[in-house]
Amino acid sequence: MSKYLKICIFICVAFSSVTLTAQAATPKKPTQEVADTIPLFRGVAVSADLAGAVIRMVSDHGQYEAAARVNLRDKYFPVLEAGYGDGTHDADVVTGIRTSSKGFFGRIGCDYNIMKNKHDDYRIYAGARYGFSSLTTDISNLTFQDPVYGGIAGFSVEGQNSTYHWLEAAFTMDAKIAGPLRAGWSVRYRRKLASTGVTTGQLWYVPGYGTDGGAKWNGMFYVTLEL
Amino acid sequence: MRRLFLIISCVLALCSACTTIECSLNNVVACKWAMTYAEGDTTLSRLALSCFATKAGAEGDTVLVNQAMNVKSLSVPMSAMLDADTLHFVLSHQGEVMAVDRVVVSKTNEPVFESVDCATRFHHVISGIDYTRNFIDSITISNKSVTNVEVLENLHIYLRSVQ
Repeated sequence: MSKYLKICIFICVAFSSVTLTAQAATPKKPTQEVADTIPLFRGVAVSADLAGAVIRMVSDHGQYEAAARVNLRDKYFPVLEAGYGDGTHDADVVTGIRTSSKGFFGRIGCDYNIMKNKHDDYRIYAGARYGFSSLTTDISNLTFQDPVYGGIAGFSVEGQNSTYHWLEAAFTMDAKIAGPLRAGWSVRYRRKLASTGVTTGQLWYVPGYGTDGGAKWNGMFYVTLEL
Repeated sequence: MRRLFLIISCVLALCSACTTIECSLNNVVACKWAMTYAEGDTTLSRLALSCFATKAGAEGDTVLVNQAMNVKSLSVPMSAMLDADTLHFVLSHQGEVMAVDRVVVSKTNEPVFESVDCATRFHHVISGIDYTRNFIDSITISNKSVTNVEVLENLHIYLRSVQ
């Protein structure tokens, strides 16, 4: 039995070595690299986020946002996003807190088309943004009786001007719908960098960022027009 | 590719609809007092200690600690809006008052807003302390920041030796 096994192993090794030798002996065909004749500047596209506007209509906060994107070789897409956001939360049923925020925001960054065929109608981008918002906040709180020391406690903030800075990672995919019209989704992971002028700990809603917190996931649906 | 696009679009639509409420688990803001008895003195540790908070506007007192024995630490809530909290520490033996000390803790009050879903609270920074010295020897400020985060101690009371 072991004799047959040895023969089989010998045949396999011999066959594989012959194959390898044959492969090594085969002259390698010189591969011709196809030169990318696509020009560097491929146009500008403007887009609008529909998800933020819909969220604004059906909830107590949201934003209106537009973006301009430059197409470089269908590969790199420097992008500038700007918009206005506002929100008002009427007196909360449980905590009695009423707050409102409004302000402008902007983001600047770049996307990279990760598709193998860069010139396909479908595109999948990975990118990053730096975001900035300048906002005004009002907070009014229900007053309450201090149970230990007596007296009335409570606070309110009016016209608090503050700035908010963040970084975000963007994963975006879009497709050509018809002619110069494209549509797609974008998922954003946002992380706060810093804020100034906030005297009350945190903000409820930051235009362009969403509700305040450590890190946030957000989704956007946008329609793009290629110029 | 078209199918993949649709599937990912559906997943992203579901993901973007999620929301969470993140309030602090601990909403109590209390000052942690630690207490050290005089070396070799066992008399004080056998007496009962009470602590009263003076209410604003001469409305009376609130009992915070009632005749506790061999106290090593206290957790005393701070007022939300007063500039200074007045506390009375009372030593007693079998119901009879032996000594009383009055402590005034000056502080700042900083409102903290987390979210509309979370109750607001006040954080404090202890700016000064004033006290009588009937059985208290001294009080030191170990950590002047009083928040909802648990700390080992904010104030430390050193008691006198009682003969």
